[in-house]
Amino acid sequence: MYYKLRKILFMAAIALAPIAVYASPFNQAISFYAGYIPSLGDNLYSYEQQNTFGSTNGVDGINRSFSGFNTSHIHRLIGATAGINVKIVMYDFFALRIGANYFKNVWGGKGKTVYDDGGTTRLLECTYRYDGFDIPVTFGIVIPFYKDMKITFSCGIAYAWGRYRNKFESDAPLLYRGEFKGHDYPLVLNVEGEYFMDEKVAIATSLSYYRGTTTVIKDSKQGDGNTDYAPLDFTGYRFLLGISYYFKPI
Amino acid sequence: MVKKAIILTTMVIVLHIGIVTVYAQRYAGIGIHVGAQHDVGDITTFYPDAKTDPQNSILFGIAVRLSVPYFFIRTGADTSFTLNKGKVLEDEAAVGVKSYNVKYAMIPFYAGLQFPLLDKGVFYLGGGISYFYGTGNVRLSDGSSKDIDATCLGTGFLAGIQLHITSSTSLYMEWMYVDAQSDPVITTTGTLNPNGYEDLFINYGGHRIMLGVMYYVL
Repeated sequence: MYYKLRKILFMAAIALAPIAVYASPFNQAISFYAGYIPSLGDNLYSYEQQNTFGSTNGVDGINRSFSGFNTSHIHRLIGATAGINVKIVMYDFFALRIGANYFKNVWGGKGKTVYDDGGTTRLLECTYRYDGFDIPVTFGIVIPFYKDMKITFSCGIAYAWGRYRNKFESDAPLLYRGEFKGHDYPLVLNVEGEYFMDEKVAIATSLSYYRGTTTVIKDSKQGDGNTDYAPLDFTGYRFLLGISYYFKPI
Repeated sequence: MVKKAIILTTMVIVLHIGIVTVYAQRYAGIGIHVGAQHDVGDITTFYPDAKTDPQNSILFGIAVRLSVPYFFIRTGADTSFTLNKGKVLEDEAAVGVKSYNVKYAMIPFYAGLQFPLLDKGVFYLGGGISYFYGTGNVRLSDGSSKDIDATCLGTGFLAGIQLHITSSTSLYMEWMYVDAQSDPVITTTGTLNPNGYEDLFINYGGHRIMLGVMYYVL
């Protein structure tokens, strides 16, 4: 997997080799971004949550409360993401963007609920985690407004790799752990705004929408006596803030 | 050394913003808007296979907007009015819900970057949170009705555009997406919940479109 990633980055480096000669109609920019992802991994469905705990919709449906049990809400995950983007601007109005982003859950995904264990209501501790990386490649149109700003709208696809882990523990006793790793090629839509502080440096913001889900993946966590199945969902929005550096003055 | 560089960089940015702000206009505005949301309460997040006639609502709200050359803060308050209730068309015996009417008040707080479009307007994009206080009711499959009383906090983003029509007024249009779900607050009566757990949460998430007029007091 890491070999594949290195290969992709190497190909990207060749593709983006310095073409920013002053006479060239091309310009290059490098951007560093950080931001957040609401609902990382969407509802984090897995087969065992439906089969054993009665939730047909993952973390959304697993939340329940019952008199006499000290439950706490298990929120959908909020992820943090950071990454780098290289952009080639062609003839001032067209852009090719290639990025590399890492993402990880930073909030939510932990709490207590109840479930029906063959007629007995039991407290269940749940933990969800999700992380991964993606390499989006998008092509689009740039609208420059004099020397002050640029708005770019682009679309394309990404190579996205993710790892979803869950853990369910009760005093039945019961301990289920699941780990699902896989990749997909989600559709990517991106709108980006850059506000130039001088001829080369801009503060930037970006809103991306990813849409793509892997096929159902078998649990790779062994030793807990059960085998779970789940898809990895990369669908969702990403809001980012960052800074861009253009190699040639705009 | 690094500390010194950070302090100097911060001073330069603050000074730069300060200098530009002197020449900028439209620092603080108050707006009123109407809006709409489709699929309010989205019951399919509770039961994915449910076939529904989604609830639609209109929104009325006020917006407060503060801005400096690069950044903006947007807050305010919104309240929803139901156009049509949501209905579960199939599988209501399993879902345990016949119809639902979700109303809410929302206090948004968003911040981000703004991009002036010459002197004609401004485009802005920000992230943030929304606080919801929800009311309304849910009619369950056994014919009983339960009131909604649920609060929650959601995260999302805001994208908007303003068209300046006079030196102090602007038309604005905004798209807000929020992801927000309450704790389970209602015990459904469907076959999926034979133990009588509180299991139905209220989903305040979704997309909202708003159109309004803003008056800049500063």
